[in-house]
Amino acid sequence: MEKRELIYEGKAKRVYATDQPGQVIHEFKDEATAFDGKKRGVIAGKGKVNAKMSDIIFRYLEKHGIRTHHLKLLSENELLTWWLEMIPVEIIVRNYAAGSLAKRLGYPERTEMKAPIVEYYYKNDELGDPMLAREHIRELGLAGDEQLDEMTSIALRVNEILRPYFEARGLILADFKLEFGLREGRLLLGDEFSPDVCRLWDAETGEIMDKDRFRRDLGRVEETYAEVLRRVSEEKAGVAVAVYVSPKKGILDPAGQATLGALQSLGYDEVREVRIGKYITLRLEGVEPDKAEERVREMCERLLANPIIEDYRVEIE
Amino acid sequence: MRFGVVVFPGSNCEADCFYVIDKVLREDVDYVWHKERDVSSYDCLVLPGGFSYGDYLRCGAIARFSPVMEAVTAFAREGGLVIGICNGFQILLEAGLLPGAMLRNTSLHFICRFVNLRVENNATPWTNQAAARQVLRIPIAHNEGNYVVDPATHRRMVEERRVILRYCDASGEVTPESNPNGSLDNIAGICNEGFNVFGLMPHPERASEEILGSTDGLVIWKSVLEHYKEKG
Ligand SMILES: Nc1ncnc2c1ncn2[C@@H]1O[C@H](COP(=O)(O)OP(=O)(O)O)[C@@H](O)[C@H]1O
Ligand SMILES: [Mg+2]
Repeated sequence: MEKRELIYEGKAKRVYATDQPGQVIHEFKDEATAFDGKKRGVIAGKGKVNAKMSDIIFRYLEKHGIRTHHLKLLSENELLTWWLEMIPVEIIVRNYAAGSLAKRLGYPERTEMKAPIVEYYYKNDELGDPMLAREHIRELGLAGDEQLDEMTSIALRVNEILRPYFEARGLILADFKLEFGLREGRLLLGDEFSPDVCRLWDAETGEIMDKDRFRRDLGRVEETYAEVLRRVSEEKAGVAVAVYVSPKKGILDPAGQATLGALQSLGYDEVREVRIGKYITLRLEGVEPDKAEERVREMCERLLANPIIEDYRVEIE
Repeated sequence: MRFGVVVFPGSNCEADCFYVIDKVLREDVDYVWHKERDVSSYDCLVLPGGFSYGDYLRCGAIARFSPVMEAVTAFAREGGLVIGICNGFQILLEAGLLPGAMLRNTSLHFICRFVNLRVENNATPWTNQAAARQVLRIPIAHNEGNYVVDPATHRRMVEERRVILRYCDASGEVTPESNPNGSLDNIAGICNEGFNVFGLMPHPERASEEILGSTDGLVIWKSVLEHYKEKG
């Protein structure tokens, strides 16, 4: 893999061409800016943290069915990705009020949204990245309606995937920004995922764990970036669990009865009993395997099964 | 008297209940959102029918853990009047405020029609305006109304006269043919030990005006008003 000419230098990354067609290298910088470039500084080690964290998060998202531009981590602060024709719309998903949203709605900071809120911003430094309504996006011809719907639903899905992911690591994902682009006509998630582009709060202490530390001069900026990377790097051994819920012996199972009748009328006279139940799979994180069974049994007793009419069996993988 | 109609995501009979209480009974009524945690200002809570939380997992299984149900449970434990209609009944069962559980109708059909119900106990807050063994004509509309409970509890419920409504024919005979869903002992409505919690599959709010073809549902609403007037 050969690094070729610089294609673009932004505020946080340099994008280089490579000898591979359609592939680019993102070099993550330590420089930081805020408030549309009015505030500038350096966060030592930020480039490495953001490259590494993006690598981890993009791989995790890919594993959960999100298509991204990500190929691999090339060095400490370089990512190899597909080149995308970027759509100049930033998609923001917000779970809690913070920053401009708190101001716009007049909510106290950290108010939880009733449902995740999606906002669109025009990625345009000259205009100061203004917020856009769907109609503006249509007017400017930035993205088609269907494309925008797709970006919106992917963004919400990313939220569903990452909220519990960060929660398992003691972090609340308050909001985040995504950028999308097209490769061979297909929509892919691009850019980065790092403390530069999201808000993270420590679940226990409430401490700010993202770029707001820099924006608001809260101190311990480098340490915080490093701590977020440490938590994100933690391998959370997932435990896969299967739960079988079936109608209790002696309890009438109307669906099973009907199916039994249908099988017999097809000539399967040997069938004497049909019981129809449910098969539920769970994946737990941050639980020891031996504790997992106890937890899942409790879940069965409380919610997954109704002990009056149903039996259940738990299998830990 | 002040009623609260509890609304879960997926409830769909709340407006009918509200209408009957407001326009027919002319009593005070509010909607109570599923996130509400304080229900102390009400004299009677109504859990209406519908498909709370899409009936995912089991009917009522998820609604039972919504914030308002903690308040409803505390309210009921202190003797507050709670009526669960159809899906509301299923929620009360899942919450353990009433004994037993619901299976799918034996026919596997969603059944939506008028049925006849015999009042088995007319000395309750919910049936004091009914004559002994009066037959009420009220519609049902459900897929899971096939009530089951263990034999010991069933025996106790019968002894304590907590089976309040049973499916019957037009003459008041409780027969297998008049059982629409396979429900144990033709059970259509039951009470808890204190008789302050009532669950029933039929929809009294859909039989509370002449124009709807029956006003037998009013027997239940008027009973609870009478009970309130007497007992305060
Ligand atoms: N896969 C990709 N292909 C091409 N451009 C990309 C890709 N992913 C992100 N970009 C763009 O590259 C730039 C990354 O550098 P950055 O410093 O974040 O720029 P900016 O200051 O414009 O946000 C951004 O403009 C971003 O939209
Ligand atoms: Mg950027």
